[in-house]
Amino acid sequence: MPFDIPFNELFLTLVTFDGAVNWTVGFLTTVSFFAILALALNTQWAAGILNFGVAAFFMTGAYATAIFTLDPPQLLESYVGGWGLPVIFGWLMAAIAGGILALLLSIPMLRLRDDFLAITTIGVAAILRSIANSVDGLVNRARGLNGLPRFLEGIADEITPGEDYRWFALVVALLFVAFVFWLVSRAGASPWGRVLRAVRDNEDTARASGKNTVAFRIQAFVLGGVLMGLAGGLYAHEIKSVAPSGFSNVIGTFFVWTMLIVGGSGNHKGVLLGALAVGFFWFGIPLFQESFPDWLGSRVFQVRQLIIGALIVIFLLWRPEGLLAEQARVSRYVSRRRDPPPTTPPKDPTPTATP
Amino acid sequence: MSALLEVHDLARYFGGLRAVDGASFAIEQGVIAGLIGPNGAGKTTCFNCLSGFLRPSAGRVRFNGEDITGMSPHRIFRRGLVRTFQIPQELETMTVLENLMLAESEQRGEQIWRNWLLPRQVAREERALEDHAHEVLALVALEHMAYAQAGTLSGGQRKLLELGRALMTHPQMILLDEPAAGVNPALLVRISEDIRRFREEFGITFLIIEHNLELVRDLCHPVVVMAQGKVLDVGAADDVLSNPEVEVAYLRGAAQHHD
Ligand SMILES: Nc1ncnc2c1ncn2[C@@H]1O[C@H](COP(=O)(O)OP(=O)(O)O)[C@@H](O)[C@H]1O
Ligand SMILES: [Mg+2]
Repeated sequence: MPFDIPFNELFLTLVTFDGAVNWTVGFLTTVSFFAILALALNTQWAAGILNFGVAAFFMTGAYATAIFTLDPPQLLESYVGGWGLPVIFGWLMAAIAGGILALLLSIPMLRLRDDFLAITTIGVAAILRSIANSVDGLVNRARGLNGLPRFLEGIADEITPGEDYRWFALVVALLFVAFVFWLVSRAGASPWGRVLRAVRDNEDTARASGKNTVAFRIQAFVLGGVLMGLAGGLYAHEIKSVAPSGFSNVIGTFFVWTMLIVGGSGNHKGVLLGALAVGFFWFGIPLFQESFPDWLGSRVFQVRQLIIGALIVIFLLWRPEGLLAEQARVSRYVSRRRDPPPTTPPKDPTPTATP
Repeated sequence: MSALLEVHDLARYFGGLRAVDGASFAIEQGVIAGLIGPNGAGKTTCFNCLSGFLRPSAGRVRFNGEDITGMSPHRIFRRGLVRTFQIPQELETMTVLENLMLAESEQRGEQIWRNWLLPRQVAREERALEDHAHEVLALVALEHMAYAQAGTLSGGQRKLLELGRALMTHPQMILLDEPAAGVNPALLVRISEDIRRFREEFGITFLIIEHNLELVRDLCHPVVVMAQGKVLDVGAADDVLSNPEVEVAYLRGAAQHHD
């Protein structure tokens, strides 16, 4: 087992160049955006909606903020917008754009079975990418939109002169994660969340309990879309450029699903944990590139996709509930009393055959 | 005065199959009515049409004088007409308690924004609702399972949970689809006593599909008999059960069942 070798290498790479801290700051900032995506996806999943087009919402949010916050197109560039508005406004627009996309998609959603919806959402992501790639004068095609401003860049420098902006970016990202976590937890662990869980468990029962299940599904889908759009907006200003190739299904959708599966679908805390764990694999593996044998090291980016795939399989087979399982109790207002284990109820009326 | 539930020439076709084929009957306020008939007579399909789960192919349904034909299930529920399922449909990942709490209508906490801005209001409402759900659980003898996951219940307990869900909102009328199927005999007595009591105490009208003819004889008046999608007879249990036509229909149903 070459266990100690990579660790030494990692140690050297990171500490020698004062990289450990830098790497961690950058890692946590980036993972924050994916954590928001995963929380949003979890909210949709909790309503029984299978969204395999996370990339579409992520991309829509990123492009929305880019259009509003960039300056007008320069020579050889061509895109709509370019109004140079403040970043915070761009984020608002990113969230709204994600919500609008979800609203539009909820029209077919009402008619399609869950699995068909999943396929439809994949298709939408592909369509949006190809529109961005091929329509002239819309969003600068494959070259993408570059040079996005960063949030309060000037002011951050004044508050903490000389400090690296990256710390400021991390704090902002974590604040957003905390806010989104609060939003989805409060919404999920409530009578509203209870209806969604019912829709997922058995839609007929939810209807027989007097719920307009269609309205609730749309609400969950749109809330998820808004938050995914927001995540895209945040991400765009972190990496400062958006291009269609940056929103592949691998990074935009399956990466996020893996966080859900590993962390524990239906459990928002688990999903945060999953985001951290899966993100660490994804962004951490390239660090070991040097210590892999050549034939492997040159394929490190394929290796990490393989590992993501393996994680999905391992968890679905051996721990489908994820690291932190979903709770039976939905509403946080309901008391937590524990009963004797339901497997051995003494007064259990045994079913008898129908006469 | 017109009846609480009026069904006029109700029909529902599945392709060429006439599952319900021009059924008409009326249920008066305050009765415990029975709906019997051989397997495949169209009883469950009829319930599905009354409760909005299926759109009738033809015919009218009036509840409380209002035309509810083709209305969506939640609208019909809000008007006080509630149904249970023949095959229990519990929300298996949720606790038994919250299975019941779900059924309360007009919950303010179901508006998403209140959970962000007015959590105390929601908390107050939830506490009251939880107390109410415990009362209903006691009524259907499931109190000891309140915090168990509904997926762990036995077949008979699931039937009781269905009944409990229907009782949560004190509806005007409950459609029970084979409430006694799979319930053990001791509990059976209790269920029929309970149904009678709910009628007395809460004024709930019942329409019950049931294969246990002893139970029907004991509990239901009037009894509607369906066969091959049509209403064959309506009347007192003893009368309809001694009707030779009904007997033939049952035998034919049994014969078809053996094919
Ligand atoms: N969703 C459906 N699709 C097609 N056929 C159905 C459907 N539901 C019921 N049927 C058919 O309609 C007939 C009546 O069924 P049902 O109403 O369940 O009878 P009952 O409840 O009286 O036993 C049966 O022949 C059944 O196979
Ligand atoms: Mg039936």
